[in-house]
Amino acid sequence: MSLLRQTSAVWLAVLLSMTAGPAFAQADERALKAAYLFNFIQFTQWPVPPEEPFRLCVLGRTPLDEQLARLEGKQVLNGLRITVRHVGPREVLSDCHVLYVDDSQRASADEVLTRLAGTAVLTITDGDGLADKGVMIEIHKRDTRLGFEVNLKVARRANLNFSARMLKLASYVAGGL
Amino acid sequence: MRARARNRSIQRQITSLGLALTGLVLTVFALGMVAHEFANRRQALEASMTTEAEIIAANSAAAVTFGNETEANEILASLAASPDVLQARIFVPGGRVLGSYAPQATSADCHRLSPDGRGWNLRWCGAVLYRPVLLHGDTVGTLAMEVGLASTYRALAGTLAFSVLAAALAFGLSIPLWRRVAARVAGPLTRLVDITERVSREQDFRLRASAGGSREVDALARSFNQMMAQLQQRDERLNHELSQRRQAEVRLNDLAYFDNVTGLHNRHYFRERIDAAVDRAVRDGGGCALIYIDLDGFKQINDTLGHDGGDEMLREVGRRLTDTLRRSDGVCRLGGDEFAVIIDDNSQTAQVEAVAAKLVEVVAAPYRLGGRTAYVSASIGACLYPDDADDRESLMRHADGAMYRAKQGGKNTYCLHHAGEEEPPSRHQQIEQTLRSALDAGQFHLAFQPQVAIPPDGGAGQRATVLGFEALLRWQHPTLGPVGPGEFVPIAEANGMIVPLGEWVLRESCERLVHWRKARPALRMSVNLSARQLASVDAVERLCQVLGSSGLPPGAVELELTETLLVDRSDTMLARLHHLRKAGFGLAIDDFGTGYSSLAYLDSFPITTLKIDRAFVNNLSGAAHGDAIARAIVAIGDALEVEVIAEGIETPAQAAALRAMGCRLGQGYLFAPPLSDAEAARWIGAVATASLAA
Repeated sequence: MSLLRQTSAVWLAVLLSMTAGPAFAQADERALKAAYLFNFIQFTQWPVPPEEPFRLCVLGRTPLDEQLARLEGKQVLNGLRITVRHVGPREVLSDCHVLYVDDSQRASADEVLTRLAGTAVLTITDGDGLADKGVMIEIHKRDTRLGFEVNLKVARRANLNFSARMLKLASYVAGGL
Repeated sequence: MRARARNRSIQRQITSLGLALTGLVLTVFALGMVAHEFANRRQALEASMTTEAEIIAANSAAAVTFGNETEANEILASLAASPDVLQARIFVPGGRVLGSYAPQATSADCHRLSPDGRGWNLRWCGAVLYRPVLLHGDTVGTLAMEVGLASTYRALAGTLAFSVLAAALAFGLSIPLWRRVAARVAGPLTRLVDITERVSREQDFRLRASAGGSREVDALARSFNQMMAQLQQRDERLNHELSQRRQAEVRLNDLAYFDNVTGLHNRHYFRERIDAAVDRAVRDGGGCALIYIDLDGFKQINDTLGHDGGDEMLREVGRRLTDTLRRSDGVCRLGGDEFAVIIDDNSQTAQVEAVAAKLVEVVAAPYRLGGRTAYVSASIGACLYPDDADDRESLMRHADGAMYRAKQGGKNTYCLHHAGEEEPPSRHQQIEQTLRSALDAGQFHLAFQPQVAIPPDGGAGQRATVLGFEALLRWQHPTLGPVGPGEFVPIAEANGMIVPLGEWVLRESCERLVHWRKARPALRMSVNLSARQLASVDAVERLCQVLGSSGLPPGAVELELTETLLVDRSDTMLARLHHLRKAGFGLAIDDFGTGYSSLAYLDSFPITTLKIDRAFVNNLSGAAHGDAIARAIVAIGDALEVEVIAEGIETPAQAAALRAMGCRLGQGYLFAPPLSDAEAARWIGAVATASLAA
């Protein structure tokens, strides 16, 4: 029980339990996306194991900011505390571990992706078609349910590995096996 | 048998005990095996379930975190490879079931899987394992899995069956084993028991137990055999002793029934034989005859041939009698020279007479004994029963009487008793029968022969001086007339009458003497004493009392003892003689010189007088050395300082000779015959009193 009461797990569990319903509100969808984002970190392996602080960078201002802010201080990957940082497109991005590119920031996506090409930064988006453009994981919504697809080619170029169990859950893996 | 049934044999006890032990061990072993197998299975089950759950849980971490039910169900579906899995569920926090697995809808609802369950839970119907689904060390969900135990149970049942089968097999194999062990232990004991029973049944102490089996049984068998050896030894010794005893009995019987001189039957056997013969005659209505045989003058033969020669003759007589008679006729030696024959076959008078005549003849034939020829004759008397006797007593009496008649009839002949010719009792018998009453009847009286001082000239023409009297006992028998002491004294001595008779004589004599001493104060009296009167201390004491009550002074009464009395030199005899002397009696030795007394001991007796026998006095008037003995006796008397008196003086020459050799006292017909009471009294008055020369 002590384990279950542990911060992220409880939070996640509550989150996921809400996905049971066929329809859920906009706010719920945003929380679920944040949870997904958190989960992806868990199943990802960096070429050099990340050290604290674990920097979760968010490009610009997004509708998810409120939910993402809640991830601040959460522990991930065996006890690394998450630090959430908002970054601009021109800022240094290479010291980020994760970069979230919201659909609303689609305009600066190309520029950012070009700068990050080959850098071990996990890129996640909820913008349709951005995976094809070089974002590693794209969260999407199908038939009222959330799903995701993975651009494995880009990730491999950046020397990032994903857990096979996670990949099994992906609706589509580009440059896959 | 009942004890046997109650106490089971050692063999059976060992067998059943051993089998019970074996059964117990095998059962414990089988149960232990099953328990061990169960523990093993349980451990293996837990391990395999844990491994499986671990894999499932690891695989389902992603599905759980992303809440993917399809994926969760798919992962759980892989459990189909494990047929024992009854059901499985994956719970996410909050208790929601993400995925579940249940291959058989019909499976019993053993466990209800709950999201709160933890760890390992085993029940009879199944085992449940709860495993957390972990992601980077964080618990993101719970996997619950239940496994059925059917296959475990099947395996256990198999193990159990195998164990039971193996145990049963081992048990079965152990039965003959235990039997053999029991037989080895108990077998020797059983053999020992059999031997013991055989010994007590057959009484055969030579039987031995064979050793074997074990050290204890060996020791038992050994000590049993030792015991048997001792028993056998004892048995043999007992048998030996018994046979010796039988021999001794036979020997005793021989001694009791046989005469050891002649080898003939003895008087004891004769008694039984005559009883049996008379009894048989009474019972069967037959008859028997008794023949007494007495050898004539055998005493002389004994004297001339010696005892050995006499015995040899007796044996020869026995042989002749036995040879003459038939085997069935019992020849017995009754003792001394008396034989008896019992003829037990209904013989008639004539036949018995013929046998008697024949016996007289064979006995009379000459004997060759030690190179010498000897002769002996037999007087034979016979009597027949029941013809001539009424019973056994009369048969024996009549045969005895007939034998006496044969002796009286000249010896070397036989005589048969015939019914009706009952003999009058013999003089001897008459004397014996009347002796007891004679004293009370006053048939006895005393005669007194004077004892005188022999005059210097031998007494011719001169009356001698009377000094005393010898009292002589006389019996006037109512039918036999006067009976001499030589005839009745031996009979009185034999039947004990001599004691009261002697007392009477002393009392009478004392009475007379007291009376006569009023006139002649120095008068003395001599009284004869029988050896029988010294035999008891009471009789001696009574004699002393008689003298004491008479008031006579010491030396007035003299007791005359025969020389043979002195042969007994025992302390008792000496003490009695001294007792008499102390009481005041003088003691004289009668008929001195005729007996066998040793002069060496003469002085040890308290003697006061020696009396020279008439035989030596008679010789004085005869041959050249006729006075030698008388002279010697006088000399002994002088040497011992006792008085010497001669008896039987009949002629003046004898008196003179005695006087000459120094004998001053005498008695005999020369002076006076035995006198009656009155005559004696007159004699005292007539004869002048003379003082006794010392």
